[in-house]
Amino acid sequence: MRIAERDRDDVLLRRAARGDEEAFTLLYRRHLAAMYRFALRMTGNTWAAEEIVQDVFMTLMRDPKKYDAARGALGAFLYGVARNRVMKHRERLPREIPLEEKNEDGTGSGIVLQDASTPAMWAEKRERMQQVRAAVLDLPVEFREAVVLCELEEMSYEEAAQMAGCPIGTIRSRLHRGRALLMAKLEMFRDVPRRARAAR
Amino acid sequence: MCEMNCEEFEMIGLDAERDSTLSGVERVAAREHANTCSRCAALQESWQAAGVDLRAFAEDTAMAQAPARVEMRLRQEFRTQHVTFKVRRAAVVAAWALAAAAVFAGVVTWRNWLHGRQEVAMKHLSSAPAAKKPPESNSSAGTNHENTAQVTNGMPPQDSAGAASSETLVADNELTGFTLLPGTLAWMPMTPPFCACVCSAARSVRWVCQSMKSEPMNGSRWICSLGMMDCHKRCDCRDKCSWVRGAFGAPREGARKWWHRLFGRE
Repeated sequence: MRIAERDRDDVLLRRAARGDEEAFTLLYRRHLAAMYRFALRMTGNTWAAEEIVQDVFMTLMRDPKKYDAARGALGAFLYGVARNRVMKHRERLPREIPLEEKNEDGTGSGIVLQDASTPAMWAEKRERMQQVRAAVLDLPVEFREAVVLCELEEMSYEEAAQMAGCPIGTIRSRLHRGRALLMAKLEMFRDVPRRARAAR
Repeated sequence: MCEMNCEEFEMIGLDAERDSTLSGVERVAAREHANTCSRCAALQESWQAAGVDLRAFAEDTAMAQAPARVEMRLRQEFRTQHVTFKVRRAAVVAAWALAAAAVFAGVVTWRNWLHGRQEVAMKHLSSAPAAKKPPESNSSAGTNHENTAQVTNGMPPQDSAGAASSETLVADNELTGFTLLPGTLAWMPMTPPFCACVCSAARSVRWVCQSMKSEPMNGSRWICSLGMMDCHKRCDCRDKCSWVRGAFGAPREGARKWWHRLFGRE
């Protein structure tokens, strides 16, 4: 009980605000993965995700009083900050010319695909993932956020609504429209090879 | 029994099994609608296929991790910020301490100055009756008036009655009162090109003069301890010599003479 109390996010944050580096590291490691995944799925770019995660924790470090434990969990607060950073990243996007990203395996994607049994399966899966990724990234940002939170992060509607700072009904309708768009895009991606095969 | 139409199914029925905000009745209704409506059943099937793709994409990206350099940068920033904060706090404390010391020194200085001023005022008051009736020990002052007349060449002449009764008050320094000087210095001409009032004694005299609201006695003149003539120019002393009024009731000087006294040339 005492350990749980000691390791609560707000307690750790207070300690970090007083200069306790260990507490800050603990907080960082606890929330890093979720933040990074969210940023990566929203931007589709590892550099952008890295920058967003860094900004999120910088905000927490520089102004820990911005977080009010009475208003919700620290995770939700961090998601909110990350979301704002993603929006800013999107605003900046047209002015940026992205360099071609290369993974360690030489692929051009920002996301490393794992586990493919045979080269053919690996190639097929990779192609499919590229399509899904492209479809998700093509969604308008509000719909994308709903899809990322509810479908990829597997949050409940309440949690997603809390993260996005809007009512559940809004999340539901965004998700509905996002799904419709996503399905249309995925259908289109599926149909292109079929039509190509049929043309041959 | 709750029935669901196609529009409602699209809105809430596609994900009815996962949506915890829906009631059991709504879930059953969604299931029933999917069984009866082929279009909605196809839509649900399509969504399930998309869901599989999305889950695969989610699994692939689930293992994505931020590089270690992010943590390193953040920890470095954390250390820098907290060390800087400590240094800044120490600087603020030191600055406040210095400010407090300065205020304290200022208060002490002001108190001393105030005390000194009161002392001077008291001495001046106590010396005033003595100036009216010159002490016997200073009886030689009266005899020196003749010498004074010899020394003060070029100065406006005074009537003999005024000269006989005139005495000269001198500020020895800032804190002591005035002492009677031999009359030989009483009419020392004002030759320096700059104002004689730069000497502190003259300022002290001026101050006493203004604060006590007292005029020098008839025929007496303020004079500083350096033997220079009393406040002359640039000191705002109301007893200053001016070409309009003349010094201490002395006959009026002409502008030319006043200029000469001031700058030593005509």
